[in-house]
Order: sequence, then C-alpha cells, then structure tokens
Amino acid sequence: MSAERDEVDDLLALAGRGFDREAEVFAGDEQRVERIERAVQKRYVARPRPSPRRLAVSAAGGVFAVGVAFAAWRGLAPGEGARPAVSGARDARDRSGAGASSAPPWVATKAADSAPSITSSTPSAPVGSDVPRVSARPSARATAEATPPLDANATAAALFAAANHARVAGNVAQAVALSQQLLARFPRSAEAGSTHLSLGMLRLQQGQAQHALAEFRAYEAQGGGDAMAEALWGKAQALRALGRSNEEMEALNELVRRFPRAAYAAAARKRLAALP
Amino acid sequence: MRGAPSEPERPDPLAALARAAGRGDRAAIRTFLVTVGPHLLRVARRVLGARHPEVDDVAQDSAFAVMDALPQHRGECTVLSFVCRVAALTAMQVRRREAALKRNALRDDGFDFEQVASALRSPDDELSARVSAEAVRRLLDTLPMEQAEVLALHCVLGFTLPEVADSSGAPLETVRSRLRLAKAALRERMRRDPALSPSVEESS
Repeated sequence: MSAERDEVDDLLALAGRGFDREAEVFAGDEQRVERIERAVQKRYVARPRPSPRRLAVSAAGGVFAVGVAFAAWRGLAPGEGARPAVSGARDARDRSGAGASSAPPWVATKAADSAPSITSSTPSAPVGSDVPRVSARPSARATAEATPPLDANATAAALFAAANHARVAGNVAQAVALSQQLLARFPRSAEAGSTHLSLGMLRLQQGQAQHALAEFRAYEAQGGGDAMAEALWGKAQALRALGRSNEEMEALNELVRRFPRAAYAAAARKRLAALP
Repeated sequence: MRGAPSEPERPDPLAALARAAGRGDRAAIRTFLVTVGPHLLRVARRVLGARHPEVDDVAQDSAFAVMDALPQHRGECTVLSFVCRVAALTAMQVRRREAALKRNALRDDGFDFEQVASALRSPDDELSARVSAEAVRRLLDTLPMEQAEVLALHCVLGFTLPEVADSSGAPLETVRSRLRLAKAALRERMRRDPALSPSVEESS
C-alpha cells in the first residue's frame, strides 16, 4: 500500500514539474492580458456620458472637418486637404494592426510575486528567444487616448494606472513623473515594487542608466519576485550602458543561475558569450 | 510550493484594489486585471495544457467570472487564491465539456497509455513531466467535481491544503478526505493502466 502511495505521489510530483514548465510566459501574453482587460472594461464599466462641453467640442470638430473636406473638394485649400488623408492612413494602419501592439502596463504587485513576468520589456519576445527589448511600444488605442488628469488625492492604484497609461501611450516623461509621484507618496504600497521596475525600464529608455540602475536595485532590495529576472536583465543593461562590464557579467550570471528558464536567460547567455 | 499565492499572516495587498474593482472603478479594474491577468493565463495553461486552443478564451471567461464573483468575496482567502480558484474551476468546466463531447463521439478518451509508458521511461525528464501532467489532467476530467477541485488546487496550482480549505470554504478535514479519494482514484487508474506508473520499467 505504501509503495502504491509512493507511486501516486511520484506521478503527482513528476506531473507538478510538468505543470511548472507549462506555466511559463508565452510570446504575446501582454497582448492577451490587454485584450482581457478591454473585454472586461467593455462589459463591466459603463461609458461615461459625454459632458455638454465635450459634445460642443465634438460638434465644432465635426463642422470643421466638413468644412475642410468641402474646401478640399472645391480645391480651395490644398494645404489642408492633405490632413484627412494622413489621418486616414494612420487609422488604416491602426486597423490593420501594424503598430497596434502593445505593451500593456506591466504589473506584479507583492501579492503577485509568483506571477510570470509579463513585462513591458517583452511584448513579443518568445520565451528563451532573442534579446528581450527594453522599450515599451505604444498601442494604437492607448496612443489615441490622453492620460487622464489626476487630482492631488489620487490613490496609489490610480497613480499606477495613470503611469502605465502614459507609458503605454509612449509618453515616457509623464510616465516617469507619475511613477516618481507614486514612489514619493506611497513608498510602501503594493504598487511601489512594480513601479521601481517599470521606472527602471523607463529610465533605460531615456538613456539614464545610473537612475535606471538605482531603480532596479531598489526593486531587488524590496525582495523582488518572479520579475527578478527582468530586474536582473535591466540591471545588466544599465551596467552595460555604464561600461561596468564586470558587474554586468555578475548580473547576467546571477540571472542565468537563478532563472535558467526565464525569457531573459537565453539573451543573458548570448550576451555572456559575447563578453570578453 | 508551486505558485502558491497566499500568505495568511500578511494583509492581502490586493484586497483594496479588488474592492474598488468590484465597485466598477475603471482604473482599479485595469490595475487589478493587469495584476491578475498573468495568473489567469497561468492557471488556464496548467489546467488545460499550455497549447490548448481555448487558453485565451478560458482566461477571459475567468476574468468575467472573477468580476461577477468579486462582490461575494469576503476575505476568507487572499484575492489571488480566490482568482486562481475561479480560473481553475472555469478551465475544468471546459475540460469536462470537451471530455463529455469526446466520450459521446468516440466512447473513448483517446488517451494513449502506451505513449505515457514510453514517455515515463524516457531519459528526457521534460517529456516525462509533460506526459504525467497530461495524465493528471485526464484524471481531473473524470473525478467528482469536489475531488477534482482539490486535486487541481493542490497538485496543479500548488496551494497548500489550508489554502485549498480557505478558498473553497470547506473544512480542512474534508479537503484532506477529498484529496485522499482523488489519489485513490489515481491509484486505481494506475492499477488498471500500469503504463501510468513512473516506475513501470523497474517493476517489469
């Protein structure tokens, strides 16, 4: 009986390893989460009624557009006639999906430490494939929407959402400002750890490697999580930019040793091989 | 422990966010879903199999189910455990529906136990692990729902038994008993299909 019990437990243990391996991050997970979020917002959040002012602005815009189109048709305003064409091309590109991709906000709060690292820096990098990117591409939807204004009493969650919104929209400076505001006002919030990491990535995008390094170290100091792989990769990138190759190598080795199956491990190995 | 999400001693950092999301706060819903979305995908992949074509749909349905159920969450378990359980149950329903369709169509679950045997004997640890995982998933389809739930939360998602008890609202002893029954069913399945045994080579 005990041998049978062992066999069952052996099978379950073996299966457990199989489940672990199948829980890795897949290319396109960020887009999947983005789609889920959009679907839920559509179903559960009623669209706010447009204010009279907004309606008036829309109406004025409509009248202006009709006027421009009419002028273009009459050949009276050749310079302005080009504008709708450009905008139409962008719309078509957005509809076709080119550049509509995105990096939805990266999040892994302390509670979500066991989350697979779905990150701003790996919007479409296959697991274990080439070098993950450290840039966040704006989505067509996000680019079209301005980051909503925040009042002085905004919560950590609201600041976090706004920072992500700005980042996804490609507004790096605003995303940095909002992230800094979050860290200054809510340093112990659940969002703070994740913010250090996303801020580090944003700083890398801005070419501020020293600031980026500080953010990745702050993330590490808070205990990290599964997103540690991304933090180590970011740290290595920052050290590389600073020309500190010995420390870069240490960070890459740590990444490969601690997270051999992470999306970044293959890129780290490749970089290690290239280092003298 | 594999991906066990709860730490009862600490306050649940997602609780306030979940409450705000449950009230329909747009920003909170966004942050909440971006936080739990990867977990929904992870659970769907664990229960269905990573390459299952319905992983995305199940993750989305799970998100709807979580949003519907959030107002009923009273903090008996962490929000993340709650989310994972909802996702696991949603995915298991899909598996069961598929299994029922297959049974009706073929009178056979189509699972090749010879393939399992050779995979378990394989020196390729990854292959053995993958095939064992699939065997456990097949078992989930056939167990009574309560036992399947315990087996899925404990063995597939890595919850501890107290976490399973907290999230399912069942007494700990009941959970233990359900797990015993699930393992007994697996043992019986292994007796009928010796190919499932990891030590099949040594015993033969």
